[in-house]
Amino acid sequence: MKSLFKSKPKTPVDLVRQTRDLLVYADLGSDSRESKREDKMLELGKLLRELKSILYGNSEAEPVPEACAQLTQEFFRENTLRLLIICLPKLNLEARKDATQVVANLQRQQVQSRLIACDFLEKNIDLMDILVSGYESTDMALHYGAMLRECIRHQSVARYVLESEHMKKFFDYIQLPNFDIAADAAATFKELLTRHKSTVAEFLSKNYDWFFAEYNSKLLESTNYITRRQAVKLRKPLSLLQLLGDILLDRSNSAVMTRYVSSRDNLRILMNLLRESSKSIHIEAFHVFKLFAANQHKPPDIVSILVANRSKLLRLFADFKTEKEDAQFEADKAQVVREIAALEPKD
Amino acid sequence: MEKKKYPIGPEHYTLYEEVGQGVSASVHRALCVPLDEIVAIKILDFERDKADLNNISREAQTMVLVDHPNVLKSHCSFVSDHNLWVVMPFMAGGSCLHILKAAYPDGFEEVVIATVLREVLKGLEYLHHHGHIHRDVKAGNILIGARGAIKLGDFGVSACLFDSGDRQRTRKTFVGTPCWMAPEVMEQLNGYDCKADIWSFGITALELAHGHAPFSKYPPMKVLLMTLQNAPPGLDYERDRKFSKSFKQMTASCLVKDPSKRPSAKKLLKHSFFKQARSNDYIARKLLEGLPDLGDRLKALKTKEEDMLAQKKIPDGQKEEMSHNEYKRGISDWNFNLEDVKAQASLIQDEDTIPDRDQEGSSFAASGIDHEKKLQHQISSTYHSSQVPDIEDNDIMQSPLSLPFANSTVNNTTTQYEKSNDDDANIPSSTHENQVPQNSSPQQDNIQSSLAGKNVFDISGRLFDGLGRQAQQRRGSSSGSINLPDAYFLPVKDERFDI
Repeated sequence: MKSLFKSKPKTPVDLVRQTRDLLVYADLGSDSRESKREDKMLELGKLLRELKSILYGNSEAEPVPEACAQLTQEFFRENTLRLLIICLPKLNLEARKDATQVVANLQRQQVQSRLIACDFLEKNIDLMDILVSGYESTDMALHYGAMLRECIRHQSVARYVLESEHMKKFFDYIQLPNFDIAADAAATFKELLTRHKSTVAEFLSKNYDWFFAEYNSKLLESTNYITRRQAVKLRKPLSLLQLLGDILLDRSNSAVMTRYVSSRDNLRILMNLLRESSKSIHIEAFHVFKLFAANQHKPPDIVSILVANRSKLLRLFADFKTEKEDAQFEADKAQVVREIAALEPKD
Repeated sequence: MEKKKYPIGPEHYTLYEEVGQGVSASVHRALCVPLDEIVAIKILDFERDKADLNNISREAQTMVLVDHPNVLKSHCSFVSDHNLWVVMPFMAGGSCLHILKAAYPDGFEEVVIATVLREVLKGLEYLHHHGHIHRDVKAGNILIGARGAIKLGDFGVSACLFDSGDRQRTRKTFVGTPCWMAPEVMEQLNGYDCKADIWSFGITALELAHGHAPFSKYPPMKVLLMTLQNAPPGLDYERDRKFSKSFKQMTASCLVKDPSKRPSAKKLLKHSFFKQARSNDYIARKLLEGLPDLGDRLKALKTKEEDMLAQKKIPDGQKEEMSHNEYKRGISDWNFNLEDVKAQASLIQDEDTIPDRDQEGSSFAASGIDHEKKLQHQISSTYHSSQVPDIEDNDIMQSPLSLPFANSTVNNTTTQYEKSNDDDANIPSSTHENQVPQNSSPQQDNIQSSLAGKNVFDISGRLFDGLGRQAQQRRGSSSGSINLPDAYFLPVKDERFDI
């Protein structure tokens, strides 16, 4: 592949075209000799590296906007992204990493002030199905996951994923035994549920029942971890709890929050979490529990649970300290204690 | 491409002796039962390190995707109870720091140094190519395999310049072990990039040559000021005459205060100093033969430390212990508070009339108060701005918490909080601002959630956590004991709620 003569530098458009040609070749998995194939894959790796250095710059040079725009335009003119995603498993680790960074960067490149990546994805939205199911493959999960997180920066793409059947799978993905993959899935899940406010609010109001039922069952699992298997899952309720707090406290989700804190089942789950042996879970559970107490329109059954457990709760909070002083936490706690102490049983 | 699959789950591994220890993690030798292979397992306690979940995830992901002979990779990672287990290749020789301490208290000879550093540099070149800044290059993170393989390890604090698809020209987060930390990392003026690793690499060269890093006997705050104010350290002491000119030049080229004048890893690899580098076999023969077992070495080191502590009245031992604690805490989360720096440094400065042996030759820049003031002004003014560059998800940011049904009360709380922060500003230990840059992550969870109100605790938890550790470290320097956080609250396991 090496030329003896220094060829003139290839344009970004040339690089993309050559990349596409090689991807087509890789995709076909033709019957050519093994050595020839290896050469071509090596060449593909080099091209991806060059594309990356155009988009990100390198230790000597900053990226040039015109070159980036030309590259982006050529990339999305045809189906290069699809080929790249499909062929990713055939690349070696380094080429996969470069490809992932190229795809991530392309989501932000504007051509004539349009995000043409978004236009492409809207027409090829099935690519999201490939990316999401990447979490089921140990080797591909981190690459597809990183690409996916960048693609859902586009609101329309995020809406597609939110409304797809994939959403249910995330509850399983975030408890995969591989920590790095589970953490990646959790990051994507969080991004989906927090980035585009209006879309998230719409999703939650439409899908309230199954979504929070799923949420609760996953949180509940943690409260009786007697078996070792369940203890292994300790991290999951914590990240779920943190995210729950984020979701409920987001102003755009206020209707969802009001509904959530009016449910006796939800209160029960949170109260059980307050008794967990993990201090991180205590704290996160408290941040959600305080919403039940702060609700100025508590339904009677919520009030009666709080009243019935008043002395226990107050005793619990009396000993409830963070490791280090925390003014906000103390203030929240004081308010919760005041609210609970002042409750009158309703009939 | 066929990869060995390492099994997921603690039941597949048998833990043996401890071979390394950090602030929130320990490393054990272990047997991977189904593969019948010896591995190293880093065990990280989530409960003790809860604030850094993002960092932990990043580290696990970086390490599992590494593929370079000179960078330590992880085979897999999984959660067991409230610990994270990271399975890695076992490096039987331990770290260069361990070897220095066990057998070469005054440093290695030049050929060994050249060999080790060349391999480290290859690893750095790889990481930098991928946009990673290691941020913790030091002898303690250079690991030697049974056959003399040399790998750069510990990504506890590494950062990626290519995070989330954007080239982030520089980072501003304030991390680093003080002695190895580049001046621009301390200053936080313009941010820093891969060149910060090159400075640390230069300091590591001195560490390998002398057996310890320059300034290693000083408390961190002092190191900070010395690094910023003094001429860069170098190989210019009397006892450095044994070293070649090219070694001195190579080191000096790394230890230039202006990062843009330092060579890249790629360029530095071509330096004539590395021509003398030998093979892995050479390292195995030269360094590892005759050394006791890694576990035994670690035990011996611990005993030695304990002895030193027993005679803690000896100031040198105390200092040694202190800097060792420093070393162990690694870069993990240094958070310098300006007031603290001033206060501590002013206390120490008086002792400087007697130069430490490390100081011969290097000029004690009589910078005077003016410079110091200017510098501190620069630092303080950047604390406020430095939280900005990392923010990219502005659209996530929210207005302060106000519950739809509890408006007045909750807003009240917010005000209270801000107020108490103001009060704190008089106490030279905590202001919110200089905390943020250190913790800021590309995701900006912190800022976002602090505004949302909900996770204000999270931030403050980190805030106080950091201070607590600092205090603990200081305590540690006199008593030597590592204090675990106090019990957090009494569990109410027996008490059931009536629902």
